[in-house]
Amino acid sequence: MKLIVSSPPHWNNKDSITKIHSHLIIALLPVLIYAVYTYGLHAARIISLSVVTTIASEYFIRKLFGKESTITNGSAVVIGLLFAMLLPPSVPYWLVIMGAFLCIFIGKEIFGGLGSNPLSPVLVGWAITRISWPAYYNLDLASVNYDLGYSFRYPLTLLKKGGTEFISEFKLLDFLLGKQVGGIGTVAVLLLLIGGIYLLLRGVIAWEIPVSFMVGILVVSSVFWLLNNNQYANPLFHLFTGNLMLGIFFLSTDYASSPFNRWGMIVFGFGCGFLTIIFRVWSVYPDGVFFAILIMNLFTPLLDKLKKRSKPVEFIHIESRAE
Amino acid sequence: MDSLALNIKEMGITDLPDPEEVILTLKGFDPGSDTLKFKEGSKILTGEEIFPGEHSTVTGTLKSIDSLQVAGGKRVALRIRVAEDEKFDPAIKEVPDFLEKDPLEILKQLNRCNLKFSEKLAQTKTVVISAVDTEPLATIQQQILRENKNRILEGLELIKFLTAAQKVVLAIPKNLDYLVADIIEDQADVFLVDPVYPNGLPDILMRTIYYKLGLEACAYLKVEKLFGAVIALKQGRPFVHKVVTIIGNKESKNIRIRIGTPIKNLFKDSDIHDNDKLILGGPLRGDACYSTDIPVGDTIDLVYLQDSSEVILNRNQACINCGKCVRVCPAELDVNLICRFSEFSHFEECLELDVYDCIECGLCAYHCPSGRSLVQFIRLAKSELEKIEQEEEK
Ligand code: SF4
Ligand code: SF4
Repeated sequence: MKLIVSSPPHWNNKDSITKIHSHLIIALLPVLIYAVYTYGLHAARIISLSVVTTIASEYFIRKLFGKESTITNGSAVVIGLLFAMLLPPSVPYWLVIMGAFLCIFIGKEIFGGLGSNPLSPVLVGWAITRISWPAYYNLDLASVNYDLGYSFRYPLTLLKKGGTEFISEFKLLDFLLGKQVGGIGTVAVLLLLIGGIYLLLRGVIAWEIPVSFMVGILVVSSVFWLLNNNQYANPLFHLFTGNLMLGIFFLSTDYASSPFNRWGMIVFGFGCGFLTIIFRVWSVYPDGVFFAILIMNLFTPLLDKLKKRSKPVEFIHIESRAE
Repeated sequence: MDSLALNIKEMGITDLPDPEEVILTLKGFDPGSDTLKFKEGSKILTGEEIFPGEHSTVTGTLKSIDSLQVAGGKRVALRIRVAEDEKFDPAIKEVPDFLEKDPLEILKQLNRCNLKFSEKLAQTKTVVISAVDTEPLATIQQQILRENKNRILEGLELIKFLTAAQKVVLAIPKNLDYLVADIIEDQADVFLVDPVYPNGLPDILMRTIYYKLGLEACAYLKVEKLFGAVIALKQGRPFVHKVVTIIGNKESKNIRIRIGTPIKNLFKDSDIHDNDKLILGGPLRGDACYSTDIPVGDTIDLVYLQDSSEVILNRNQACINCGKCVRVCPAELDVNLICRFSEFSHFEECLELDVYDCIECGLCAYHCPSGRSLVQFIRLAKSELEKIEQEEEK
């Protein structure tokens, strides 16, 4: 008789990397549908181009490096979707391909693949293209060809230029419902929130980073708001605008580039929130979410050391043969 | 079947007839330097000492002495053909009035009864008696508590007598508190435990109790051994039977077996198929056996026959750093880092990350989405570190 022998445990909870990425795709689906509904074929074009590029680049890069293929684990698809969501509807096709390729190559594979990336792969591709070709990311210009029935001016730019007076036309409810300009998948705040809650319930992400991220945003923006409410917007305005909601649930929670210990995660999330507001208030960029996350990514190895262990307790086994 | 909840269903205990042959493995016996006082063909009595600390669990004839690979390593194994009529070693006597004797004498007597109680017992101030099963699927300790309700007080008396304990804590699953409803405070403290793995593991239980009650110099004992000791003294019977939960493909049951019964006697031949896993111990910490000719020792609470359709194969994909292992680890270790270091033979780094504090509960690997053999990596690191240490000593 042939028995199977292996080290314990002999059970597992049947989770897998593919399942995790499937949950991520499910969580993103409503947002993607909204993007296509709003921007039509432009959005569909960006999304499909981006996903095809990430899958193809991962496949060929791993082939080139002589490593086994990891396409089926779904990570490339998720990266492709997320990268597409950051882009304005009018970006040229070559920029989509370029960015998506960089996400996979510089963001992930160069470091050895999924799990070894020090920075969020999506944001690496985004940052390189954003800095190299800023004109294509100009949201005010990107949306002029659309008439969507709501203001097509970017609220955070207005805030930067003229303080709260300039943004008085906006309603928070509109933001929640996605009636603002931005990347094709960053504006549907409510849908992103629902997707994030889905991920929390499924155990794909832990609560620490999203919650402390939001707390960071609310606390720091409240301080500014209380100091001068003519110049600085109220905390909820900050929470519901720009790329924040996507950053909170989908980008800052990238496994490899965020801490895995509870206190590290909490400080990481709060740091992201803190830096986001600082960038929004003082930097040349209207929105600083992604740069905030990238900078906090760099602190991850350090933050993982933030851990206090309770030492094991010593005791004796009365029956000394036990265990 | 894969829930981590501990089973708290009542399941009666039936006796398994003695097998034809019992296998006793000798821990600590070195065939190079130690000698056995028995030869093939020798007659052995139940309870007779074979080697310091090891006693025969049956009466019979020694059939052969060979070696057997078990989970703990290679051991010398005695195969004893079981005789019809059982005779006990004459050194084993009943001591019903043990309370009037010298505790050290009683300890020796227990030792003769195959209950090797620690000599450090006299220094302990708190004793935790656990009726919480250690693994999912096992229903042993709680069932023994149910069936020995009337012996609890004697057991408590005995343990207080053997130790310097000012306090005895009785740990039982939450839902079974009615079993100990009449225990009053100066007899024992009842400590209710949420019946979920790993709460019943000694290391976890003792830590929980330590942090909740702040007790000092603690010791741990399972109820089975406690009642075994009471019976040994009152009736002069050595501890040679063990209750185990048997989880088979078709049925689950609790049975009382002779310690050393080979696994093949617990199942019908037709129950075990190719590519099944036969696990001594529970689904999270048990050891898979390569053969059915391996004996069930006195530390085993559960024998689990896992059908080939339920066997999980280790995928061992690269770690994606999701941190799930870290968040579930009861020893609060950075499991992902330890295992990456171990995978690439950086064992010194594992040491710095306190790999020795791992209690091998298996929760990390249970939750790992990459299907990594985390416990195996940890065992590898521990054993390699021991080798390094031994070499340094030389
Ligand atoms: S659970 Fe598995 S994949 Fe996740 S960090 Fe731990 S070892 Fe890596
Ligand atoms: S087996 Fe895993 S979860 Fe359990 S103590 Fe060891 S490292 Fe932690």
